[in-house]
Amino acid sequence: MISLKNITKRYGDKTVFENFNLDVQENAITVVLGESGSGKTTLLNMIARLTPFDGEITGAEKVSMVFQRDRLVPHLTVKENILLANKTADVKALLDSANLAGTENLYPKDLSAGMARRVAILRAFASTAPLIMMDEPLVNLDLSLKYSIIGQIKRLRAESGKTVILVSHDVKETVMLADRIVVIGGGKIIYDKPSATERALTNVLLNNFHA
Amino acid sequence: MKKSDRILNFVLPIITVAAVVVLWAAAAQAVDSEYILPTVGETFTALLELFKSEEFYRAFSGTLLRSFIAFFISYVLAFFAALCSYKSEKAKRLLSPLIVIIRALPTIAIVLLLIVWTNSRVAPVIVTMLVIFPTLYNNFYAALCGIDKELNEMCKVFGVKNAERLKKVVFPQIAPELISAAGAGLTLNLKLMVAAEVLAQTARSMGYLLNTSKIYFEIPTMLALVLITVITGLIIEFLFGLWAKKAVKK
Repeated sequence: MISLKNITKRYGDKTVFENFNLDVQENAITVVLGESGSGKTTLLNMIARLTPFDGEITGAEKVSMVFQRDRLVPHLTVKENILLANKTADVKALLDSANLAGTENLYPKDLSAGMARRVAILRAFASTAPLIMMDEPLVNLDLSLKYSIIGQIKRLRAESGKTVILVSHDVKETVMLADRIVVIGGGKIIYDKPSATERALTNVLLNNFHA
Repeated sequence: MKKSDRILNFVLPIITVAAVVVLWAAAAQAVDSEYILPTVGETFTALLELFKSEEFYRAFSGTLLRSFIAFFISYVLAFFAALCSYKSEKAKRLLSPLIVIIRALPTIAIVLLLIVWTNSRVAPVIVTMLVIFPTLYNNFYAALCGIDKELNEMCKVFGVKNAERLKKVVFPQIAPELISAAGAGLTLNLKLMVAAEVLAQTARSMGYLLNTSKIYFEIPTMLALVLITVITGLIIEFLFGLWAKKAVKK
């Protein structure tokens, strides 16, 4: 179990989280839904220890991540980028599984946006870390690509048995991906259920943020 | 790059050099005095004479060696100083006035002082080190500031070891800047070294040959020595430019 206990995070005078608590179920995709500026990325950065905070996070000693921008190293090939996360990864098998066979020796500049995103996701799953965090992995992708990547994430998660925490601001993506949905706003959890319909989730957002 | 651009890149420098030679030839003909402005032919004859003399090779190798030593020391020091400034704001603030002072040092006065404090071989080395240090420092600092912080975060998340991060992620990002700074720095270094050697009267040096030629009014030899310095600088810069391009392509 990954636990966030009494987390407080401030940027100057602005308090993003105050005594925030969250338990994340293992072997599942937990989607954290929230509006822009609600602290979704900050939450992931705290779990990854990329930003300081007060409080305690347990069960997330080793993590991997899909960043909002792919953060592939431009002068390394696809294969080298994946091996950066795990030297013993079976790159060929991973690429084959994502319909990216033959791209091992390409550089990120040679990839389309969708291919680069897939490689970033594969790199995260190639890592031996049991927890993968994804920061809006479907942002700026067209619809068919989104569906294809949603399928890829669900399949890789099921095959690897890893825990995924994914943040999103999109209701539709959340419903399609989540084994558990957590809506955050104002530094608090507003909604926390295993599933929801798009309509119910939209209502939660409307009632809490736009009433 | 388009084929026409490639042709222009090749042809334009040739046209420029040809124009300079034509101007020089015209000016030399107008002046009509070997002691004021020798002709192109007289200068090339002096150049060939230099190539036949053992003294020239001793002087040329001595100057090159001193240039490389000064450059290497300055390069390493500037890199570490830039690294300290990049890592620590306090170090940057500490180094900042020092860089300004070094940049403001009057080169000729410092050569003269260094001749008193050290000797004619060491003085040019120290002065060239001092002069190129601020330029190299600024180049390196800018290169380090250009390192992608997001990639560093990515490495941290994936637990990439420091040595591997430096080798595979950080160094390739700054390599083109380090190489091109080396090329430009070495060329500047060579020019300064010759100037400092003239003042310091360094034995077995291009500067010494220049000074001797001046004393004996051997203007074609002086021009030939200048030509050699310029061509050597151009070759160094060209080779480092090629290397930097290769590093960028990687």
